[in-house]
Amino acid sequence: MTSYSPVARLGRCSFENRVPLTVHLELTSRCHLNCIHCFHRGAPSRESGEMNAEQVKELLESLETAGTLFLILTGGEPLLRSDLWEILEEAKLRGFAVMLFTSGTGINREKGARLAEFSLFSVHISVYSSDPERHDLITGVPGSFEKTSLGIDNLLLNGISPVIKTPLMDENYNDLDKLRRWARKRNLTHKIDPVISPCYRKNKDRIISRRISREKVCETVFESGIFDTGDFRPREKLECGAGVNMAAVDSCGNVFPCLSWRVPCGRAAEEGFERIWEVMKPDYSHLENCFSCGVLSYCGICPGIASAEGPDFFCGAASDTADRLRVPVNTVSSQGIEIKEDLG
Amino acid sequence: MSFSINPDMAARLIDGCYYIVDPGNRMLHMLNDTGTYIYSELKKGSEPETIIRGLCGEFEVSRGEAERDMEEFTEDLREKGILL
Repeated sequence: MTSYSPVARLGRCSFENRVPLTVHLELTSRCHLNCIHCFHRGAPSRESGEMNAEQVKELLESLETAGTLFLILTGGEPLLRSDLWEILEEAKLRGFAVMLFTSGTGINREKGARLAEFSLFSVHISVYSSDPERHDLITGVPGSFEKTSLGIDNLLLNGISPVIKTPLMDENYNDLDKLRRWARKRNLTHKIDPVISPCYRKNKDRIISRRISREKVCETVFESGIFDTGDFRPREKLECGAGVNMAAVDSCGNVFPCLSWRVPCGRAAEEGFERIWEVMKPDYSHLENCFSCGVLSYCGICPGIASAEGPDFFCGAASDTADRLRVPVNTVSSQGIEIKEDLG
Repeated sequence: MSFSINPDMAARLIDGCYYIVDPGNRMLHMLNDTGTYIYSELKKGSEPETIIRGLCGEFEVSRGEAERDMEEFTEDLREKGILL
């Protein structure tokens, strides 16, 4: 019998029992930065009202009941909410492992100390380059690199070691090595995201134009060493946690299968999260060709991104990966079953 | 004996098991059936004597075994910082 680690078992049992283990909650779509790749620019949530603190607290109560353990507070910039502390207090009382996604620009010494009181699971800060000018070019705000660096220092002073996140774009791809060294020097965990997501169809062209090429994505994945360390597991099925063991809620309370798959499923404040979750069923019809694809095992397709822009980007990247690994693609079928086709 | 649950820990009961996250070291702990029973009772504020009696009834064990389980489990959780 297979013995699962607690992490694997939690992932598996939340998936099989359809528990929304991880929820992204966008506390606001407001932000003082104007990042070139941000999907909030022109997004519908910018035009209607944010949930107030009471509505957020009601939502947290529903999420606790539904079984959510990992709560990711994101934005916009969550620190722009004056009631953030009240929300963090409630989240702690309700036993969530809270992750905070922020630009770090608003974290002064006092806020750093205050954040440390909430025993956060992690704080993630976006840094686009170690070159201040390049970082500021992406955020659209001069001086933002300096403020973010100061925010990181103020967290470190208070015993919080933030995770540095870097979405890769053409604008910062060549800075990656320097940024890695910058993070290492500060003893910070550094994570990259090679595929930026449009989230909404209307953002498709603007965001895709910033995305690194699929060849560079492939290169980055290989450079990560995943195929050398034995960590790579071929994809067995076209399945994803969106709407199964994860969900996202925007600042107005609209519930989605995930942050990147923004098909509105209902409004939490009006219908209640639990009721929306009960009937949520992600529609995979846009991926019907993927189920029988020869390179599915090597495909990193995100059903959410594919719903906004189609699957083509991932098809190319998966073929490149299979080519580079010299995998005879016809021997690998959908759902991870070997066809044993005679290639001779 | 008196126990209180460390308020810094994140915890959730999923599919009959308690999963506890320690944000300080980012460790995930999974409790077995007995551990989940004891932890649930501690969360409710039950007294150790009530929990021991409950263990005897729920798991059909002798009082001695229940006391040992309770002691070992709470000691382990104290060492891990889950109980204060």
